[in-house]
Formats: sequence, C-alpha cells, structure tokens
Amino acid sequence: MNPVEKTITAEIAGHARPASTGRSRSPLGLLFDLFSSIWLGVTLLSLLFVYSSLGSALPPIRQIRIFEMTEFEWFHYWPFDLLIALICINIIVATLRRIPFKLLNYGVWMIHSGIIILCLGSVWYFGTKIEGESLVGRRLVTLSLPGAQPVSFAAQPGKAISIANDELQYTVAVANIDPQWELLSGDDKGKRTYSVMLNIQRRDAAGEQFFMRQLIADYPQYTEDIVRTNNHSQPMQRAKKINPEGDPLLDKTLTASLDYQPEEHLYLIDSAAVYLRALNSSGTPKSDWIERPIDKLPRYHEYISDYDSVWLPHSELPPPIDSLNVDVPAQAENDPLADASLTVTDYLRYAIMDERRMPGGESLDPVVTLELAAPDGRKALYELVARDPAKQAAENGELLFVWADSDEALQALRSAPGPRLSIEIPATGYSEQADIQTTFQRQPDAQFIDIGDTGYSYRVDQLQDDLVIDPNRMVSVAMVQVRTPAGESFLRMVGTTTDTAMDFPSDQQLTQHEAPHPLNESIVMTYQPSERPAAVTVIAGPQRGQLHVLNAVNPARPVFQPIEIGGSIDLGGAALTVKRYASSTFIDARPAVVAQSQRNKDVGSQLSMIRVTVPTAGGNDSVWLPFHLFPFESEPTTAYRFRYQPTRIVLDDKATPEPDDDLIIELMYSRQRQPLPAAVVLDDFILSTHTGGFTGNASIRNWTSVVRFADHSQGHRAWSDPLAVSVNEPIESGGYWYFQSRWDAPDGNSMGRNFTVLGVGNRNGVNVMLAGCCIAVLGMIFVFYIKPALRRKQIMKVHEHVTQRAAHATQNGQPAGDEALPARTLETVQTADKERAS
Amino acid sequence: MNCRTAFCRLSCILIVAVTWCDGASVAQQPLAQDTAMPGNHPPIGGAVPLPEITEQQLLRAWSNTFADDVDIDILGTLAVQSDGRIKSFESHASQMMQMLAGPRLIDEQSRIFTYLDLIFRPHRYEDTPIVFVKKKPIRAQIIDALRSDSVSLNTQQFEQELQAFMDTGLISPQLLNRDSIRALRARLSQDLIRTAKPAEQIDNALAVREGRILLGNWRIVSPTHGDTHSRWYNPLEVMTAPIGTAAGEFSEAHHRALDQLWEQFATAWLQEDAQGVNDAAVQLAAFVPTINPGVYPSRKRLAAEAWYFRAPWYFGGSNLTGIWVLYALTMIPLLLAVVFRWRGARRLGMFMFLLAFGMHTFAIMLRWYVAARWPNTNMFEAVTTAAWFGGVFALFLEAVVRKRPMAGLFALGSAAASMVALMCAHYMPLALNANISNKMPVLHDVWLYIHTNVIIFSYALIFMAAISALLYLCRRVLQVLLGQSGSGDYARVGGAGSIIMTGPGAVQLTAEKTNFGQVLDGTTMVLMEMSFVLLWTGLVMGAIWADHSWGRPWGWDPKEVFALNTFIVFAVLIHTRLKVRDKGLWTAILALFGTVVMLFNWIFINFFIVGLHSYA
Repeated sequence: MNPVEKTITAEIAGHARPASTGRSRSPLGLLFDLFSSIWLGVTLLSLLFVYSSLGSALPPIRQIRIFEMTEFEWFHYWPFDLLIALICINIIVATLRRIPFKLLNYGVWMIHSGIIILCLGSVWYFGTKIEGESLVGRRLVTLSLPGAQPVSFAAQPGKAISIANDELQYTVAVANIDPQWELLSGDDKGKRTYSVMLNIQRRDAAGEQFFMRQLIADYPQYTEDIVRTNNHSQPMQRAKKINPEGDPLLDKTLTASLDYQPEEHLYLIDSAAVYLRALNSSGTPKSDWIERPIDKLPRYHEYISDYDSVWLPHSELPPPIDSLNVDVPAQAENDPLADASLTVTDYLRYAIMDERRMPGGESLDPVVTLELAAPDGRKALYELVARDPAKQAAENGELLFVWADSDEALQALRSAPGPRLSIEIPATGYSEQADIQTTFQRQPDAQFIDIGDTGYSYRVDQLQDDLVIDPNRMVSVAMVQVRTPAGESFLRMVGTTTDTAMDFPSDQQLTQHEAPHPLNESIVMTYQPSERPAAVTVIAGPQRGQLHVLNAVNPARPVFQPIEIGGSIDLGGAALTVKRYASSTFIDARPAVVAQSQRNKDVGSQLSMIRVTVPTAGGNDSVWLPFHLFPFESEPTTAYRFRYQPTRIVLDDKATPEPDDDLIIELMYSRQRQPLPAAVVLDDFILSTHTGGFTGNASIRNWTSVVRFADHSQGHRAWSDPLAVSVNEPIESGGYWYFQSRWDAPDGNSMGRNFTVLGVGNRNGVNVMLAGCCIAVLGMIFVFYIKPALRRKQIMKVHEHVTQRAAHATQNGQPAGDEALPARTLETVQTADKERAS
Repeated sequence: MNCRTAFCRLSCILIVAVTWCDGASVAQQPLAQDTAMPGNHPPIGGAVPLPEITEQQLLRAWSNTFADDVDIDILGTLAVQSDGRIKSFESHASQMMQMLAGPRLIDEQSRIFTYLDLIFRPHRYEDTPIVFVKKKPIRAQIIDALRSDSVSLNTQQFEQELQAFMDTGLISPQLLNRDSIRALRARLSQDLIRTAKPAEQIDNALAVREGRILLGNWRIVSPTHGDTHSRWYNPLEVMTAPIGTAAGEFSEAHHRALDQLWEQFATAWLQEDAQGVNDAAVQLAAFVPTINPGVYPSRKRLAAEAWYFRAPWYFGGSNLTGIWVLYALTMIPLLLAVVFRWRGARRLGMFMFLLAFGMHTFAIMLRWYVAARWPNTNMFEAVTTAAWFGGVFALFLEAVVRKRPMAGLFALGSAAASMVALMCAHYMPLALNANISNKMPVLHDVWLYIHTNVIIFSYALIFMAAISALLYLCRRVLQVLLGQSGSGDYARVGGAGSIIMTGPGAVQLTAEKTNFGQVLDGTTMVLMEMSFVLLWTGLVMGAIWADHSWGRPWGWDPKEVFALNTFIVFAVLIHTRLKVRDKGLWTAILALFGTVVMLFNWIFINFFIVGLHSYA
C-alpha cells in the first residue's frame, strides 16, 4: 500500500491522530487508552450481540431457575446495563481522543453523539417506565329500594343480585345485553346504544311476581317493564300497553339505573401482589382491598415445598423440591394484619385446583377404581363413587357401583330377576314365564325356542329398555321373532303390557317407516325388563372391606362372585379389573400442576398459583391463592370471563372467647396497582368491521373505546368530554397514554362489548430517544454519502492547483514526475486539514 | 311471489338437499353392511373394515370426462364476499381449497370445479384422498393407526394408498373418520404444543369439504340496497329467505331469475351435462352483477384477480411466482459479464434482468390493483415486495455505475435475491400464503407502510450484499488454490465513496487499475452502507409506530432484538474494517454473517417464535 492510499484510508476512517504516544503511562492513562481503543468497541459490541441473542432466541436461558426473567427484565439486568455503560464510555472517550472535530468527521460525531443521546433517553424512559392495564366496564346497574342500601353490579352476562327491605325482596338477574340496541322512537330514533334487559323476581307476603325491565344507557326516560301474559301468541307484553295510564313501569318501588363504572387504578404488567381485607362475621368486607406488593416472584417454573401439597402430572418427571421464602410485609397503615408478614413458599406456573378422592378418614364413602380392558389392548379407567348418584355409574349406566347396607340388601341385589317373557297361547290355554337368554347384542343366528309343545317357537332378537318415546313416556320392549304352527313367521315388538305389541314382517330389517302387520292374536306376550341395576354391578358392603361383582352381561346366566382389589373378571372378551377400592374416602383439594405438553402458550402465567403462609396465634396457616388478572372488589363487579376467587382464612384470636371476634381475612393474588391520575369510565365501545359485518376476527377493522375522565374541576363525579381510543390512536391524559389493548369479544352467551381493557403507560424521554436516533441517521448519511463528495471536491481542488503548478514548472523547464504528483496532492490536503483543525 | 316461484325454489332446495342425503347415505353404506356382518363384533367400540371395492372410483374415472368438458372459468370472475372482502370466486375457491387440499389439486381439476363439485356431488369425494395433512410425523401416526386398525385393511392396494398418502399428504375423509383415526385426532388435539394445530387443520379441512359450508360461503349475490359494507348472500339464502328479512327483499324478478338459473345449473351438474353447465354458468355470470350494479365491483378488477390466481405458465403461473426461472437464467450471463467482463454477456444479462424485473413489477402492480392496497401485509407479500425493492435499487445503482467496473454486480445481486424470494413463494405456498386477506386492525397505520417497507428494503440489500461477499470469498479461495498473490484486495475508499470519488472526471488515486476483488468489496460496501442506514431508519420508524400502537417504542420482542442484532453485526463490520489488515476478507465474512442473522430473524423467528410481530 502506498502512503497515499494509507493516509487517505485513515483519513476516511477519521483517525488522523495516533491514540498513544508510546510513553509509559499512569494506570489512569492506560485505562484511558483502553477506552479509546476500537478493538474494545468491537469486543463490547460482540458481547452485546451474544447477550441479546441468548436472551431473545433462546427463552429457556433467561427463564432458567436462577434467572426467571421476562424479556424486559433480561434487558435491564445489570450485565446488560454495564455493557451499555461501557459502550457509551468507549464511544465518548474514543470520539474525543481520536476523532478530530472537523468538517469531514462531523458524520462520525453525529452518529456517536446520537447514540449517546439515545442511551441517555433510554435511561430516563426505562427508569421511570410505568406500564399497566385498566379494565373498564361499560355500565353498572344500580338498584335502590326504600328502606334498603342501594346495591350495584356490573352489567355483564350472568350477573344476579338480591335487594330486600322489611316487606319486599327482589332478585334481579341480567337476562341479556345488547351493545347495539337501536332506539325505535323519540328524537334519536335509529341511534344505537347500550341496552340491558333484567329479569326481576319480586317476592312479598302475597307471593311471587316476575317481570323484565329494560334499561337503556343515556336514556333513563326510556326504561320500561315487560310483563308476562297468559296470551300464548304474545307471551311478553310491554307494561305501557297494560297499565291504564300507559305507565311504562309496572313496579315503581324498585328503581334501576345504568351508571358509569369508574376505574381508578392501573395494574402493572408482569407484577405480583397479594391483596387482603378483613371481613366481619357476616362475610361483608370491612374495607377495600389493601395491597401488598411482592417484589420478586418466579415466573416460569414450579417451586414446590413438598410434593404432598400438589397433584403432579404422571407423565413427566416431578420438578425438584425447591421452596421459596419471599416475605410480603404490610405496606399500608390500615392493613388488617399490619404486624404480620406473609411468606410466599410455593409458586406454580400453570395449575388448577382439583378435588380428588383419597382413601382415609372415618366417614363411609366407598370409591372403587375399575379398569376395563378390551382384547385389542385399549383400556379405560373409571372412578365410581357409590354414594354419589352422579359419579356412581359409567358406560351409559351399564357399569354401576353400589353400597349394600346389609346382607339382605346384598342378597336382594344378587337375586334380582333378569329379563323375562311371559307367553300365553289363548287357544290352548298354555302359558309360561321364560327367562330371556339373549345378550345385549342382536343375535340373528340364534336358535328358535319351542313354546312347550304348542308348535309355536320364538327367538328374542333384541331388548330395548327405557326407550324414551316422548318426555313423559318411557317404554321397554323386546323384539321377538315368532313362528306359528302354520309356518307363519313374524317379528313382534313386545312391550311390558299387552296393548303395546306390534307385528312386522320378519324377513325385513325393521326400519322406522315399516308399517305394522295386523296383530296375530293367537299368541300373547309381555316383557318384564330386568330388575338388576346394571349389566355389571360392583357391590361394596355390608362389611367395609367386602366387594362383590354381579356380572349379568349374559342376562340368562348372571354370575355373582366376591372380588378382591387387583382381581378381575371376564366380561365375554373384555376384562374388568378392580384397581383400587376404599370404603372410607375424603375429598382432597390441591392444585394440580398441568403437564408441560398440555399447557396452552397463550395462557402465560394467568393460571399461576402461590402458596402463602399466614402467621397465626397457633402457628402458621398456609393457603393456595390463584392468580387474578384484576383484583375485583366483589363478585358482582367482575367482568365477564374473569376469575374472582378470593381465599378466606379464619384466624382465632385466643384473647377473646367470642367466636364472632374471629378475624376473617380474605386474600387474593393479583398484580400491583397504581392510582390513575383521574378515574376513567367507558362511555361507548365501537367495533368497526370490514364489508359484511362481524363474522369473526378477520372481519374487524378497528376497535374504539370512547372514554371519559373524572374532571374534579367540574365537581364530584363530573366527567370530561368523550375521547376515542382506538388501535394506533392512543390518547394522552394526566401524563399517561391510553391504548386500546383488549376487548370483550362475543361468544355463545354474550354479544360482547361490555368492557374494554386499556393499556396505560407513561413515556418520559421518548422525544430525547427519537432525537438521538435522528441525529445518528443524519450522521450515517453524512459519513457514507456527503463525506466522499466533500473529499472528492477537496482532492480535485488540490489536484487542479498542483497540475497548474506542474504545468508552470514544465514551462520553466523543470521535469515533473508523474509519481510525485499524488504525494504532493496528499501533503497539501494534510496541510489544509491541519490548518482547519487548529 | 307466485306459486311457480315457490315451487321452483322448493325444487331447487330439494335438489341440493337430496344430493347431500344421497352423499351421506352412499358414504355410510359400507359401514352399515359391515356392522351387519355376523361374527364380527368387537366388544367395545366398533372397528369397521374398509370396503375393498372402489366402485365410486371407477364411476369417477368414467365420469371425469364431465370435469374435462365443463368450462366454467367464467364463474371465476364472479365476486364473492369472504371474510369481509369482496374477491373473485377464483381467489375464494383457491383459498378454500387450500384449506382442504393444501397445495395440491384434486384429480387435476380446477379449484372452482372442485369447489362446486363438492357442493353438488360430495359423495364422489368420500373415499378420495382430498384432505391434506401437512406434517409428516402426523401422517406416519395416522398410517400406523390405520395399519393396526383392522386385518382386512392389509391388502396390497391399501398399502399403496398409504404410501401415496405418505408422499403426497392427501388422505380420504372416509379414512379420517374411522373410529381409530377419530380417537387419534382427539389425542393429537390434546397436546397443545406439538400436535393440536395439525389436528385442528384436519378438522378444518373436513369441515371445509362439506357442501353446506361451501355453499354457505358462496356469497355471490350482492344485496339489493345498502352500501359496499353490507352483507352478501349465497343463492340458497336468497331463495329460502322469508319475506321481511334482509335477504327476502329481492324483487320477484330477481327471485325468479335466480331460481331458474340455479335450477338449471344444479340439474345440469347433477346430470353431468357439461354443455348445460356451461350454458348456465354463462347466464349466471351475466345475471348476478345485474342485481345491484351499484355495489358490484368492477368486472375488470375481478377478472384481473381471477387471472392473477390462474396465470398461464409463461407469465409465471399462479401468483406469477414462476418468474424466478427468468431471474435464474438472468444470473448466467450476468455472472459471465461480472467475472470475465464480457460486454455482450453484460448486455444480454441486463436485457434479461430488465425483462424479469419488468414482469416482477407487473406482478406487484397487479397484486396492488387486485388487493386495492400496497402488498406488504403478509409473509408472501413481504418477501416478494422486498425483492422488488432490491430490484429498484439495483437498477438505480446500475444506472449510476454503468461506466465503472461495478457494472452488472448490482443486477446480479438483485437477480439472486429475487430468484430466492420468488422460489420460496413458489414452492412453499403454505408458509408464504398468497391469498389476499384483510389487514389486521393494528396494521392500519401510515408508519406501518414506511416501517415495513424500509425494513424489507434493507433486508433485500443485505441479501444482495451477501451475493457479492460470497463472490469475493470464492475469488479468495480460488486465489489460494491457484497460489496467486494479490490477496487483501479491498475497496480503498469504501463503498459509496468508491462510486463518488472515482467517478468520471475524478482523479485516479493510483496508477494501477482496480481489480475484480476491489470491485466486489466495493459492491458489498455500497449495499452494506445503504442497508445500514435503512435498517437503522426502519428500526426507528418501527419504534415510532410501536410507541403509539403498543405503548412502548421498544419491547424487546425477538424480532426487534434480532433486527438490532443485525445492525450490531454491521456496526462491528464497519469498526473491524478500520482496524484489520485484510479488510476485504473480514468485510465479506461479516456481511455473510449479518445476512445469516437477518435470515434467521426473518424466517426462523417468524415461524417458530411467537412474538408481537407474528403477523409480519
């Protein structure tokens, strides 16, 4: 490389000045040298690359037990901060020491200072970042009744509440909600607004009365009652049409109104907190929720202090025993347990409360676990509970588990008769009672059985017990092939009484539309269905350990035999095995940890649970708390599909013997909250769709929440003008930005749009960051495109100058070597640079 | 409405209803026979042997002349309302049939024929392999389950069918509805992480195959009044609509005409009267737009859309993605031109490049016209549009450097990038779905256009830079193999610098001529510098968008982090270039590495890691 190129390259890179003079330096000086090194910069950038790749592409790394970090936490972890700080120092030192501030280097200076400004802006931004969500319900239904406290509940599907005074009691339930009710009359005819229909049950000394009431948002004057009539053609009638004066209300004692449902908090993303409050003895809260933030909770793994407190999936290796010890001290003065610190000992990422029956205890509650194995290897497990009618039977009632109190009961079960047929031939006076031999399946190739020596013979093809004909009628029938001495044969449907019999031609398969024959009256049959409880009955008792099985799969040859745990019987191919049996069981409720393969990724940590230990006078009480996205005040104020399961504990106060003075505490695990600068309400929610209306998510064009903020300057509960928040169009209020985050989608039970979830956040320093970025962009453009043009101009100028001088010299007879030209050009440029730099 | 109309309506409905019942009973016949067979009673559940005869297959083979004779391409230009978009029936059928049979054509029939045939003659398809199962492990599980299902299945022919299934991924609904496979599907749908999605796809495909779903979605009748946002109707809805409902407000004349046409069409189809079908199709296509010409979209756009999905091979076939072949051919003369500096090859190469780029432009513009929005909302559009941006930039640079040693290199890089992009779109229709759909609400923003376009533009440049970096490395390897000296070639004054500073009229800094290594390195640097600026700008614009859309400019989403990582690699490249001795080599290596990071970000993260950007 010739000196020209070398210097020009160095020039372009902007490193005219050497960094170190070679003298021995103080340690500080050496550090200074280190930080002005480009190699350090390259190394730091490479480290940054590795660090961010690890955190982002391989979530398992930031999620391992020692980290348990979200992306946000990983990128604000101290090694990352340190790396960024070192890069900034490196940039500053290297720029100041190595890159002279002159025209050609303006670009590099701009890039470097832009990045420093960006980093400073980020420190401000992320250091003060608050990011949360607020769920805002659309309307609250408020009921008032003279002589009673007014009650409110959220206008959400499925809500119901009672209100009563001394004489009257009302039960009010949401019948349906139409978020797009079209006004049918009045000045605003055609306008669409929000309408709630209530089912109201009024009860007084005289009896009960039902009616409906429609409330229309913003139009209280249109509230009206709808009354049931006895007229079948119009079962519901507007009260207006019935009342003599045309009064739209049937019942004026109860007033119902639709009000805004203000939200005063935002709930921080990825945060955790325990909320608690004391209850009085009737279960009414003494205060609102008191928050206790939890600083550091794991996120991605199970932390279990002992295996006996949870149900673990069988398909996976159990997580290690690894208990937490996170203190959650009281923060508020009015905390009901102000001097007690709660401790989080366990964390489950994905679990659901599950009640299982466990052997043990004293009370009689027999449970058997049966396994049915088909010859091809398929297996099915059944857990049957003898004393629970809902869990007593399986396989359409054909497999049953019962408890026999006494030997008599056992014997009665054993000797219950099977299906029988009584046959009478009136002509000969012959009659018989025959046990039916057939099994449950159709046997078209079975033998005919002679009926005495009457010449008649029959064959039972099929039994159908408890066939539902209409809702009020069930019949049991046997399909019997009959042959007469005359050689005739037909198919008879035999019922439990003689009058249900029908004959059909025997050579065809029975279909629904087959017309019956005239009844052959020479033979009369009735069918008595089996009195056995099921095809296979497992009987426990009368002794607790005793277990019998009555196998009536072949009804003609029932087998009654004792069976032990582990024993099995043959059911004509399939094998039935008693896997477990216990006469005394109890219900054990524990969180069941869901297997990894069964977890839905979208659920995130919404099904997480923590176990909290509460210190009590007699030791420690520990309870499992499920996660709540929002800590609603009460069941009636929850939004549709959101969880509300506060956990109660009773703390004995030994000092006072009165049971009423027991301290009842309600706990809830949710997210940390912050007050909003002003309460927010949802005035309207607009769903705009593409052509054709709402047909699923693909058809949505935009969601818009129309909100209002509390305006205290206007007085108590005064609201600002409506503001529209839609996707990509946030609004700003009181230092926070509000974004459209989620919506209430319709489902089978709801038309949706009853609430909105707004993202709420601040954005300090965004403009500083933006300014930094813009300066850097300008710098890049300068370095890559403007600087070469400037250089070219400079060189051309110098070159011209030199050429002129050379031409002049040649004229004067001095030889001018071609190769000397560039070197001289360079010198000139350098001199010019130095002049400019000084 | 008079009696005649009422009767006519009823008869038409009956025709369809009977077809469905008929289809259902034909489908169930073998099952009924088998259960009645003596001595074959499994105690629990019921495994049903397959029929060996393929009477229906024979029937189909015989009657496929009908499919050949029917010419209903004209129906492809009918407008159908689907998911809130008015599209051509060709495009709609293509989307629905893709849900069913994936990338495959059923019986070599056109997609609109299959669509209608599934409505009128569903029974023909019961035992035909029409359901596409994408994942091979799932196919293997289904095959295992079928093999162990019943002994009577183990015939030679069945084995062949299974093998065909393994190869093509197509299986018949009948097999999928066997008890054993139903049980398998239920099991698959429980594992949410691994198999729930494929199981759901099978369920969807089975649902889409049903005549009533297809007919229900065949909303070809525009509403009589209302604006372009009103709901459209399928013919059956109109014919059966009670008076007083929205669909019942068609005039009697409309009713009568529609009833008559439908009857004619349905009857001809059921009787396999190809001529009758063709005639009815022509009439139907002529009649439907006259119902409410006010809201009916322009015939031109519909025809363009239909054509776009069914373009002839010399235009690149469906979606015009076959243009990749032309780009591939373009690379040959361009490579010769760049390596051997043959002027003829360069001229030919540039001509072919212009031709290919012209067709590419045509494809992009056509899609723009058809979709009525700039094509950059899904993966297919992002990839093809990015490549097109690369082409625009390459043409610009070629114009700038036409008299310089770099000439041809940019076209070569762009041709390679476009070839890869269009090949991906052509051969991976499921990953890069070409169907035109609505934008998600979050994508309605001016910053989206700028942000995504700038980012994909920079991606295209990065890919092009990788081509010249690769050529540079090849040259270096060759030099080492041939024992030549002269390694360490690099562009002395950077990328854009070497264009700006050495342009015509400028001073030659050195006496020696620039060699090929320097040219390649300079090309890499030109593209790299440009993509460096664009990537940064794109990131900043994305942050502006995210700030007002998600509430934070930067969310540490995997996609964001890896875009930043790509930028960091290039920052390392620029600073390394200052310090190392062998600048060209390190530039090429880091440029390639940056491309790998970029591709990882674009492809791997898009498809395998769920994040905020999963729609882009």
